[in-house]
Amino acid sequence: MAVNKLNNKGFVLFLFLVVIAFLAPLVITNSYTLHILITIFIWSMLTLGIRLIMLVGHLNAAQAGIFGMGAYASALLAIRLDLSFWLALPLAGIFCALLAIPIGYPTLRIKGTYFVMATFALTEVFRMIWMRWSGLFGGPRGISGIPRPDAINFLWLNIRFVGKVPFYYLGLILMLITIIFMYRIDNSRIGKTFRCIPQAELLAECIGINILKHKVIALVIGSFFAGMAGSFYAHYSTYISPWDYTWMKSTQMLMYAVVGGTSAVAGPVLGSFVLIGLEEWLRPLQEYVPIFTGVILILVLRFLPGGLLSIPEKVSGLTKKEGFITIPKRIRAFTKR
Amino acid sequence: MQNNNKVILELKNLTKIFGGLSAVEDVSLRVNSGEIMGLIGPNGAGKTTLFNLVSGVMKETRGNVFFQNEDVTEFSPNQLVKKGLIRTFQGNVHFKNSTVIDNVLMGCHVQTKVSFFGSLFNTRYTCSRESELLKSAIDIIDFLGLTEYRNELAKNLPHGYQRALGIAIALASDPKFLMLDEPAAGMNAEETETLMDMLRQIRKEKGITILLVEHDMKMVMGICDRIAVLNFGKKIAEGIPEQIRANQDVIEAYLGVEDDEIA
Repeated sequence: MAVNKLNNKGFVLFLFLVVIAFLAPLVITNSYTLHILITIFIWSMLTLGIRLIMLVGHLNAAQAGIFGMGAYASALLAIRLDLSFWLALPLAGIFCALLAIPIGYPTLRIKGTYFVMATFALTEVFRMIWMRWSGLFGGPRGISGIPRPDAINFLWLNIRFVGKVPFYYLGLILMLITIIFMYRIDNSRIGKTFRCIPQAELLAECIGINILKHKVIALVIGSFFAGMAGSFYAHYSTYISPWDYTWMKSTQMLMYAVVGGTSAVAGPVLGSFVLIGLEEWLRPLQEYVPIFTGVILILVLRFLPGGLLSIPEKVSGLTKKEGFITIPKRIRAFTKR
Repeated sequence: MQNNNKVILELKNLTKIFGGLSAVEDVSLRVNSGEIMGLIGPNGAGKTTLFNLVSGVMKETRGNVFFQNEDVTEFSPNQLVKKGLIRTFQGNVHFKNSTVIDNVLMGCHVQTKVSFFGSLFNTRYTCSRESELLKSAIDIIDFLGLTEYRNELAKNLPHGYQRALGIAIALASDPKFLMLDEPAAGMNAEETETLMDMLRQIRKEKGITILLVEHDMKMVMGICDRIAVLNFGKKIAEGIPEQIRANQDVIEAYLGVEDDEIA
């Protein structure tokens, strides 16, 4: 699946899955299952964001912190300033995107493990701020009573956010927006540039690519969607606490991305779906669950370095070209003129 | 030098000190527009360090670099590329998991002039711009004889073609000044011959000035208009190939071993 161009087959599959996802609540009435699906949507958004930074060659352990920042920002905007959720949602995203700029410029200069450590520390710093600054962030008890989204009354649409189903659709739509955006990035020059940077950083610099700027752009985009996911999560669960955003959550996101495969946009979504589903299925085992997910991670790293996405290639025995060439049709059409 | 030759690159007292060792010491050099200049010297003479200083990869301890009469001493590599100065690397450095055409397209980076959102939403302007770049990339690939490998992954190319790809990536940025770091390393006589033709053509057809570091004496003597010789970080000689051949310091420092060749 390294070739990231949706051919017709891929597009049909995508549409098919979207239709199924939209029809699912008609069949699934169990609110527990719906809750898990909503969780998967949120985590997919986060994991898609973390994948973008993996493409430029960095493992970001701050995604959970950014996720939390989005949740807190949105909750405070709604509670303190009485803003509607519909305004707080994009504002939380923009806040996190802006926050990523001062985070990115110093940290993205450092490489490899050191970047992981810096971002890990950052997540802990964020958590400490929420814990200690009780006046604003509610300390260890967190913030409760976050209002649910306002009802939508628009023409024939009349949606009230009660129960799981409206949240299911909202989460699904947010995830689809993220997927489409990420897909566009993957197929544009900027996505190609992201992929080229870790292959030969010095060469990239010497052909005129501003590496730091591109890395910061990747972080900003990932953080924007993490902020939106945070906002959605806050208003969905109506309660947030610092314990929801530990660095462990970042490692989980990295794990979902690696298990799913980072070569295409579908990977992180697939990884989130499979692993969260598995974790829920193994829930009766309680604290032993990480043993299983850990073993899966090791097996994937050993036998499927390309993640679950590379299964079709493994089975067919053909290695597809990793080159993500395939010039978009519209550009090819222009060339013929 | 004659006055009608325009100086494109000028180094003034360029010095780089690592710890207590000066890798490049007080090197002053002028490269005229449109010429092929060779830089030679024994191993460890500071040729590559000089390259790194000029291309902005390393910061110089002292001295200045002027490119087209502009002081570019403090410029970073990506700013220099925008000015038209580009370099290649020793060994095969390219985006190895990308196809040849993608490599060359990536080399066009500074010429894109497409905004972030323009490229994201594939606007009309983006498409026309990218298709122009695609055309020029294909031209460059054909020019360097890589046509049959266009859709091959860079890492699967034969050695000689990988070197050509390195040059192709550099040419894609539409440079005025090309710095080649040992382009013929590891090539056989035949491949070197092809490379020399290629470089002559680059100069002739695109009007690009070339500065190259090379160990292959036959190539340097055959292709360069002028040659500068470095030894222990210092410039010991500069001149046309005949002068260099006859220069006693150079013979002692570098060429001395192969008496029959210089005779």
